[in-house]
Amino acid sequence: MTQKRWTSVFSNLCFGLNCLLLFLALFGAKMELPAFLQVAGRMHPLVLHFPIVLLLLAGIWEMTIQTKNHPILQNISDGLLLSSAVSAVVTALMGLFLSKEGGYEINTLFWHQWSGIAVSVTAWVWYSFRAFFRGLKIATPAMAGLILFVLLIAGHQGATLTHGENYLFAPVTHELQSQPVSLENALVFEHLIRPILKEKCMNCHNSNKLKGDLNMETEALLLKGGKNGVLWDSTAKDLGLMLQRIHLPLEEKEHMPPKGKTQLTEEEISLLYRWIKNGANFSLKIVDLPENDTLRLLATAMIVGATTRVAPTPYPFEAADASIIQKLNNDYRVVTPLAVNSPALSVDFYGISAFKSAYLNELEVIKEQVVSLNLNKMPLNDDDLKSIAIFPNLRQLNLAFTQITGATLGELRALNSLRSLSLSGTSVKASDLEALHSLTELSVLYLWNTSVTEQDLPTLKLHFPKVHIELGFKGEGIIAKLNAPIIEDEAQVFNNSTKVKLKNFIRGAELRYTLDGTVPDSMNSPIYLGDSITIEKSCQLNAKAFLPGWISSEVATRSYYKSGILPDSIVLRYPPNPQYKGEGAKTLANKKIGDTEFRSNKWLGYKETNLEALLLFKKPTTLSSVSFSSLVDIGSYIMPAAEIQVWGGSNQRNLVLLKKLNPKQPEKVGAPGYRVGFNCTFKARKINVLKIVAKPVTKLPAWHPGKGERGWVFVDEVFLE
Amino acid sequence: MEKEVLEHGLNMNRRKFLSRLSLGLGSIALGSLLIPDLFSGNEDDMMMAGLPHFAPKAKRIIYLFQNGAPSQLDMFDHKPKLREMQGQDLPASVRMGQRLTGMTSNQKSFPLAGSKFAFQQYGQHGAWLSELLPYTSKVVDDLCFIRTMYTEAINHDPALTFFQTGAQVGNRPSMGAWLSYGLGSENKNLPAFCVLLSKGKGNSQGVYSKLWTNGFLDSIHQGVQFSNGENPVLYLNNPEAIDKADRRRMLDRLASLNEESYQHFGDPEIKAKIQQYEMAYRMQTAIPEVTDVSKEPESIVKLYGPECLVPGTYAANCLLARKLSESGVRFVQLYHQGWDAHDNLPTQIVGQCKDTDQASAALITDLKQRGLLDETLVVWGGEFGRTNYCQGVLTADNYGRDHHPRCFTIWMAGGGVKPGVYGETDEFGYNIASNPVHVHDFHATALHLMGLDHEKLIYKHLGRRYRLTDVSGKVVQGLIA
Repeated sequence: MTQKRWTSVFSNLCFGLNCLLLFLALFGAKMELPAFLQVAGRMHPLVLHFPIVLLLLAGIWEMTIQTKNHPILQNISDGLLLSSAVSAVVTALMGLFLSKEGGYEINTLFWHQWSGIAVSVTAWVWYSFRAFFRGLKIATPAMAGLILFVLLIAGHQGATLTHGENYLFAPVTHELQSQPVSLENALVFEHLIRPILKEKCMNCHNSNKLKGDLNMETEALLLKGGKNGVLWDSTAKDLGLMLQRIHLPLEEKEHMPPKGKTQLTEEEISLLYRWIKNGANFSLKIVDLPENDTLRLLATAMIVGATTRVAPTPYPFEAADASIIQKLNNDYRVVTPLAVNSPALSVDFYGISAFKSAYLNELEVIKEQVVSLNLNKMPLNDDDLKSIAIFPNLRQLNLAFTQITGATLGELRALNSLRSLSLSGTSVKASDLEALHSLTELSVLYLWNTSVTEQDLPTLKLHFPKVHIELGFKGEGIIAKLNAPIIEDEAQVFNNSTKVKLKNFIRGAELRYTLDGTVPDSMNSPIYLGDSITIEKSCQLNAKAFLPGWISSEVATRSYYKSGILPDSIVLRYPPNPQYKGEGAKTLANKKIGDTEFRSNKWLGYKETNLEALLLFKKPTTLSSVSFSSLVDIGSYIMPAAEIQVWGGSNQRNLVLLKKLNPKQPEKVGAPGYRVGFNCTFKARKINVLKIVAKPVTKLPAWHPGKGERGWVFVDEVFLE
Repeated sequence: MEKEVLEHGLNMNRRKFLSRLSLGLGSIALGSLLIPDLFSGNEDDMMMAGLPHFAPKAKRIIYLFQNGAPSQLDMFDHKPKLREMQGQDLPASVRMGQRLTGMTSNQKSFPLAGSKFAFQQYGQHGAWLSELLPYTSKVVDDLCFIRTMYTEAINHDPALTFFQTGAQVGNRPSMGAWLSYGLGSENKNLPAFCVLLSKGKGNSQGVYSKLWTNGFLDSIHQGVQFSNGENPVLYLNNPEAIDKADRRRMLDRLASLNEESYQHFGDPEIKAKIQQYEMAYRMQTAIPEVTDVSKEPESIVKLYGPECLVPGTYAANCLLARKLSESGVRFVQLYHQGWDAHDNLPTQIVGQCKDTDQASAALITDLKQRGLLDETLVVWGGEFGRTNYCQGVLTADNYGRDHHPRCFTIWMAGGGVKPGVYGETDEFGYNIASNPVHVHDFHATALHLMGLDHEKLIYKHLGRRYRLTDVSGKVVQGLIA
């Protein structure tokens, strides 16, 4: 009876633990382990031998008693099965705990974990349903076989996790480790193409396994190809069968390597492509290719990459306490780890006015961890370099545009790990740098905008043979062109006078201007002295900037209009296009000149109808001239009006045509938008009502992209005299 | 009887089943004790934000966006074949029936238009560049040209939005906002994400604030658009008769009121507002320090060109971008409008290149001479490319090009990028011949250089996890040094 009780306890325990195992395996990605379970986990390699032996024994025993229906023999078998199931689940659980410590190759771990779980679950199923299985003839051997199979997978993957890939067969396979080959001797095929084929293709295309009748093992066989023909044709556009297959989408049946096999990397594909395109020459040396040849560059990168790629050295220190890092952070000093889980810290200072030397000294608590220090532009002085010399692991130091003179640069000698030092924009002299020649790790030194020049380089190179010295851009001998003055004004249309200011951003530039339409010269034209220019009559302002050592600027131009007679009111016969309605009727006399941007709110735009405006005067007014200020922007379909008419009279019903004008149309696309004026003069006449009409072009000419469509007409102001 | 036999064979009956069940549930309950947040619904992977996932190659990005789509065929992707076949129709076998925009789909013919500009190879990687880029050609050894970028959108706004946010619809966080979210701000006195706009003389397309939106991320991550006048940040100065101490008192009082309101409503936006007021206060001193160009040496003015002193120009924005980036702004986004040359391309592109070539190259040189290029990733490029055939009438010296999303060129420099030329287009410059780079791949690679795993930089919103790269994108190893 007791025996039965214990059996039942263990059997239930086994079931419960299996449930726990599955649950944790499925949902335990974020499991947090208490320390004692960690210890249990670490016993996994010890305990795992029990289930292996017990399961094998149980399997053998079940097979031997299969035909005998003897209770004692069966009891022994029950005990064996149960103990193996219990030990299997315990082992699997421990393994799961151990895996949480991390550091295992993810793929192998996956298979090991799930095959281990499969062993445990299968063992429990076998034990629970043993009576059922014993009743079936093939069930027992099948279960034994299954368990053995899963056990082998789990065991092998486990061994791979502990001992590494190919541990088991390494002594018999002993692959020749390919010796790194020097660039001079490297052959494109032998050292780059063949390894690719071997790794990615030859598993199926070898003398044992002739998929598609293709064997890739020798050069002759490669040239022969398979049942679908030769592999490549350097003259074909797609370079033949092999690259065709490689470039097919992964889902295609014909794609090579087939889905599920390791695929070629992009680098490998382009190497194959280039090699075949180059003629698929087996004896081609990399160095025989012309410089700048894409194949040469690719191949060189791969060969050089393989020999020089070194894993980054881990940092020789522990991480600093997170609370200390937190405390050191403030608005002007930022201390951050380089990445999650990295012990290395980078420190940046910001805010020139907020900087204090004490901020540097406070970093002493993390002096081991700081690998990058950025003091760019901080008001750092010579004494502060002492506080910088305390960081033994500092690799990158930026002192650009600080106030150091270089006198104390020798302090930095203590920074043995320093690799990059920026002194750009400081008063450091070439002679100061000699103090740093003992920095063996130093690889780059930035000295732009210091007194160090090309002449100092040979001497510096003696002290720093391995260091790249960056002198940057000096701009000597370059003669640049000044930018045109900027004209700032209140209004382009004025009543009595207006004030205009000129501006240029280049220090010391002399601005000269004219008001008579001529180009300003550097001798006679008036100099702009900073006060505004007063303009009292309609004119064109031209301005130009001059400075010795510079090419003088383009001319900046702007026209000013003295407004003459203003109508008392304006009525538009047709409303303008709602997108370009300016300020309505008064746009025509609001003293605002539009610029070349037709979307600005200063233009009245018409396309479907004519612009027809009635300018009304309360008192009879003598007029002799009407000027239209309008826009032309051919690319945007804005053309000069096809026809302009000016009518006048004493009232609306009694108007006579004073002037008709057919402005000249442009002849080709090309010019950006520009403003243009049309002037209608006529014999002076007293009128109360002036009617002006501007008709848009009805059919754009054949050279225009929108030929045949209607054009736009844009008017912003009408001047009356 | 049969039932009993089966029950015996299976060693199972109802009582056993129920007791087993309780055992099973019990063990699960036990197991759940080991997994602290199992039922709380807290996603701690979202809390990871703030540090790179692994050691980054670049700390900051300056993105010189050429809005409107520059013509790769006239600047970077040399296709002599087009000039040989000048005026002949684009073979249908090349186009393969791929969609066109409504602007040229009605054209009766697609006459191939070779570039009017002379090409030459530069640098140790033999990159082809046209005569439009005399300054870029001097820094070519620092640049990585991706000739095989491709995108899914064919019109400006969706393509631009796709490039900036990883989706064509405009409600996702911008790339800069993701980086601000993922890496935080370096300099706490400046926004982590700044936006600078400029406009060339060419045909331009709009840029909208949705391109630098924080989307569903906290509003602290949204891009701050700088004004292109003389004061890049408006309303930063204290009004007359208010001094720093007054401002401080006012902000403290305001913060306590906001805090009260936060206690009441619990709206996280209130917290964001308090933070933004505080940052604006610190920006009052930080911004003048950063934006002051008057102390720049004369060589800098010559390097970027005198335009760099005229606020609002591309050159001035490049200079400002350098100054901001140098001061720890994580992501500086420039937009330069005017590349949309559907017609008059030869005229328009000359102006556009004149505006951008010198300053873009200057930025590379300038970062390099300060020792900053290694930690700054610079990206130059538009939202798609332009067609190899002419839009409108092809004449001896004039042509236009329509939108072409199937291949175009962008370049990257600095921060862990491998200089050289990546990818190849076919001889017509129409399709990609090898090594395509999708927009998602570009994002994945840029994030990788910044030390972020694009599959781990996620934010849960409306029940779904979002990434900048949506559900695809792979890091292009060939671009990484």
